[in-house]
Amino acid sequence: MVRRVIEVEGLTKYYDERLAIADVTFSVPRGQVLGFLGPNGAGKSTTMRILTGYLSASSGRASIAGHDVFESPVESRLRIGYLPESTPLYSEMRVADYLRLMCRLRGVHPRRQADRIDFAIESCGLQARRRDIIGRLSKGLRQRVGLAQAVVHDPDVLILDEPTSGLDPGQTRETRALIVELGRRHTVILSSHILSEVSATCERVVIINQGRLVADDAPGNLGKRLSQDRATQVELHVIGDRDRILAVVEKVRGVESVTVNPTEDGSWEVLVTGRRKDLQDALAKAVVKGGQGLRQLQSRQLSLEDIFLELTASEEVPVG
Amino acid sequence: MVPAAVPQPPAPPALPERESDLPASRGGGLLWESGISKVAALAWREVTSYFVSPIGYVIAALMVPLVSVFAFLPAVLSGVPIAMDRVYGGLAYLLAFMAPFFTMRLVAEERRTGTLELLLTSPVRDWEVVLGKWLGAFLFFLAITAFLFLFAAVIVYYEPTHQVVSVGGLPLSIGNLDLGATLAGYLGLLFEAAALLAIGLLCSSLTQNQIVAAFVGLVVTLTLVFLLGLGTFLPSPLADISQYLGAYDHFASFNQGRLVAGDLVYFLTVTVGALFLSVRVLESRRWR
Repeated sequence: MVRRVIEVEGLTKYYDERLAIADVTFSVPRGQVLGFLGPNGAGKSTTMRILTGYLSASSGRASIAGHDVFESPVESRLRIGYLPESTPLYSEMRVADYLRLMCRLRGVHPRRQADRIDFAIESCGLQARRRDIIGRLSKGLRQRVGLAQAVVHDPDVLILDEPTSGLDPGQTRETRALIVELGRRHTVILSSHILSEVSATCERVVIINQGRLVADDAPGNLGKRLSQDRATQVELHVIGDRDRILAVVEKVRGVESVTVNPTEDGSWEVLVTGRRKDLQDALAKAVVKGGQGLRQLQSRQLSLEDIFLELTASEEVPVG
Repeated sequence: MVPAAVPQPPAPPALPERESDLPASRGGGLLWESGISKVAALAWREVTSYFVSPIGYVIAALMVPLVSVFAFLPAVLSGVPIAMDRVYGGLAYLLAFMAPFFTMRLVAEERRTGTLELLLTSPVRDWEVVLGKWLGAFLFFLAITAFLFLFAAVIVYYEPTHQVVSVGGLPLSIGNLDLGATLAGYLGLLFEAAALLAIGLLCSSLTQNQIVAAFVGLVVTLTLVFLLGLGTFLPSPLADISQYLGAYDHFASFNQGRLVAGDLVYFLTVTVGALFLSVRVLESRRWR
């Protein structure tokens, strides 16, 4: 049975006159790791703050495990572990004391608090830091404390707002691995403006731009789907006479544009854009048939990054 | 722009269904449901954070010598039969200066560092946050005014005129301290502290700047304690109103050993009103 743990329907939020998110609708089944992707200011944090009950929406509804976040805020928040973007923590407290406070605020049974604290500390790799004062920890360790407080009450849903922002590459890798690990036990919504992060950690990506959802799919499908009815690009390295190459390539059916640039090793780099599924095969055949030396041939897959840029840019971004 | 056809999300991986809909660890029981344990947890955190922050020690270190030198010692040295009322009186004035500094941190600091967001997205109701923080400040006030008991003990011990009290037929000699008045004055002090701390908390909830919170709080508490009591030269209805609104007179009535319902109502109204407004301020974020 697939249960929708998070359901969001027609969520709209205005800050005064300014529209922050418009008619955002999506749902997340239990156990999924969802990436919430968009440029800064797209409405990611606003959506998350509405889900956690920190802000209210102008219209629309949202529920966590069947509990409406506006009508039964305490019930829905019990099921949420939240890590805001800036990782706010009580810096004067010790790690274990802080986690105990969070247990008490979130209704963990007194007899189970010690177990839950141990679990959170172990799963976030903080064993050696139990007694450390939070304010003296490094940014990476503070991030782990932030994740520990999010899981300490064993919530259904983890909502993580840009969990790797401000970390160095090593810490970022560690934190991602930790999130993937936590994703085995919890349903996770993770926001980011970094694509590689989302494609590395998430099973599904929702792209949001200027407050609207513009795409919703698995990272792999997203690339395929969007590149289908779109010009494909093929890069060839060919040896021979420039004009003859050009003539041969331009004759291939479906080719729309060709650029030829010289390369260091004496071959020509030919960039071909065209609308045809087997453009690559057709080009290879034509070049060989035309007597030119084909050194290299590769089709350029749109990376998630290209798609993201295309979906979120206000103006049309020229491909290639 | 690509048409935003929203396709079916990919199937999630199989995950064992959890035993119950509730978080497995939940079960704080009735205490948790009622909010008492959450308020207690928050209050305890505030108290402990006063003890690790310099502001707590600074205030305590100022309060004890000031009250001793300006309220207690003159009374002792003047040789008149002494009681606690002068000490309470001094403290009641001092409180107007101190309370905003007690409370400036409470919400403003959490707003500035962002921890307020984490707190308010925990399954905690806004009133529990406000009550917990106020209670924490109040308990800290109790802790740093514990020296009052020492003063009382000193008076009992050194007061020249002793009276003999018979307890179960045994004559016992205790100092000439009017216990009723001593307790009434202390009670008045607690009520005034409760009200001023609630006002300070309200000011702290309005801003993310502690200095602003302290300053606004100071204006309100000084007005309440000092300024309104001076309104006697105003034309008659205004003078009465000003006198009623002033906090010091209500405290003074306690300090003279009288327990009057009106004074109690005054302090309770101010306290509950300020706490209520603080809750509304916290709630207001949702509508912005």
